[in-house]
Amino acid sequence: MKKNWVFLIGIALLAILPLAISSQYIMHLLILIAINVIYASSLNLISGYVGELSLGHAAFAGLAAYTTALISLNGGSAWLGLIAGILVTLAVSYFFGKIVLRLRGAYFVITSSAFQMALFYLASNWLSVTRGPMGLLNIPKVAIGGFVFESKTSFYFLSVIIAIIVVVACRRLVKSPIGETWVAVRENENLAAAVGINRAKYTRIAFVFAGVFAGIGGWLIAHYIGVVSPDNMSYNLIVSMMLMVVIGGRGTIAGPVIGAVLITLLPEYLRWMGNWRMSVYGLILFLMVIFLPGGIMQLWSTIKNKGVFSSWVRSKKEVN
Amino acid sequence: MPLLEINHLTKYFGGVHAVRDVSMTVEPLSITAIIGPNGAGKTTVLNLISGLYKPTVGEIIYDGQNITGFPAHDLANLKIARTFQLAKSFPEMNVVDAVSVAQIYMNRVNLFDSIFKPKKVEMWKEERKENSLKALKLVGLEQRANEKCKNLPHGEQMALEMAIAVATEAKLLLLDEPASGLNTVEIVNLMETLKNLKNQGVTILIVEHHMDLVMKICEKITVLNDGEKIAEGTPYEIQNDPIVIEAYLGRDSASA
Repeated sequence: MKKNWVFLIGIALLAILPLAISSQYIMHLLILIAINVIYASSLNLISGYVGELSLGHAAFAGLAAYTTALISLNGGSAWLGLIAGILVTLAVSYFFGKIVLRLRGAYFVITSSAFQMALFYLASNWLSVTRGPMGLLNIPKVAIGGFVFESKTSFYFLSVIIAIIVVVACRRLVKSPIGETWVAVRENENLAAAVGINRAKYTRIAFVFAGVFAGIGGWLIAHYIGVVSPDNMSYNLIVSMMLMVVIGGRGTIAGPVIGAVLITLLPEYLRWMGNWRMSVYGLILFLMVIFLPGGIMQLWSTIKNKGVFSSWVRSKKEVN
Repeated sequence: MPLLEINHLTKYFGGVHAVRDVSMTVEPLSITAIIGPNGAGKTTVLNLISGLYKPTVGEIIYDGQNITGFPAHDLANLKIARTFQLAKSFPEMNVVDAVSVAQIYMNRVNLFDSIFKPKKVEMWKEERKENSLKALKLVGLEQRANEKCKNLPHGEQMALEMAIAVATEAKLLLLDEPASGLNTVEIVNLMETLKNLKNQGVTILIVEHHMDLVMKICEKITVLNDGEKIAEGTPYEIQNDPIVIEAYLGRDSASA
């Protein structure tokens, strides 16, 4: 019950937020945060719950971005592009998942990374279709009927609504028996098999959802920026996705959301440092990973479970 | 008809045999033990039955069905469950959640329900939780239901592993050294649990080092040495078998 209230108040705040913000730059950052929440939450299904480090994740975002770009530049609507993007990422993540989920640990990392590289270089070199590094330009905006998501405020609402749907869907999956199987497989693969959990079957569900959700994020960014280039599936993108998941807290629902906010804002906040900016950014991330390996959510659960908060509650109870 | 029948089971790792031509049967509603010195191939036999390894040669018949080479995750559906020697369960889960994972294979909630029917998911979860508490009660862990698995001491880890196996509602339990590292009191409790399970209609195949436990509760014992079966019989027969004594204690004591 209490959780529902928090959720509703959060949505209300997100709904009135644009009223309080006049800066186009901040609206731009909010849109990026929403898209990064989609990326991080979807990656978290694989890297947080199933427990495999997927370096191929950005490839799904790029696949859907190119799919919708090619469709809408050739006269199809953005919505057709969305449906096609979902179908393409669904098919690719299903079949690629089938192969890569047989592997564990370092082998999974290498194979998923190779998958990303293959698609990255395909996008960079298949000039007749993708125009290579020049990218596909002037991708039409998303429109419903006569309404075009042209302004930053309107696109803010579109991306925030989709981000909320994705996070809620992730949450339901994770809380369902299917999500339990992911954690069981991560925690003890042999015991999970002994109690009848088919690893290949259930982890593939995680992989497909993660791939499709990343694709939806890629669709958003394609129609928001209006340009799709190999950067939409670059190695940098994967690293920042991974940072969001790790800094926020792997294997939690709130973690990647918090991580997406931090990783999007931190480099912007550090702009006043000029040339020192990225070094300081790196140093902060470095220290966070060392001192908070479980991410921000670890800090939260420490405070909640044994730290300040519970001893304070206990002392209150004793007084009464 | 035996519940489990193993014929000529052989397993090679590279060129080295771990198990060679072992045949044995497990009668329904019995407690059967596999004993033997370290490295005799006891756990390998259990891993072969539970689908963790595929046998090089031989077949495994369960309840009239040939289950040789079945993947491990298909055996829960056939009502076979097992425990592991290095019991670590699901470290980051709560005890009661770890046990209720054992009922997921019954598949009452599909993918569609998982996303669109949270109520149904919740109801089934409650149901599984109740069953899990029953399983925890059987092994005496009901007080620990809400602790993290990784925080339990070794003895309780072993009991938890047992509760997880029991929660699958298996008819055949394969136990890999359930008494290892337990103190005297815990072993007495374990024997009690095993007898209770047997009375509830569970058949048990146990790999164990603890002779006292084996001799007290098992009807039939199979002795392995160096991957081969060297003896089979009741506890009394095994205790007086010169070949077994030789395998355990060496040649001199057998002739003495």
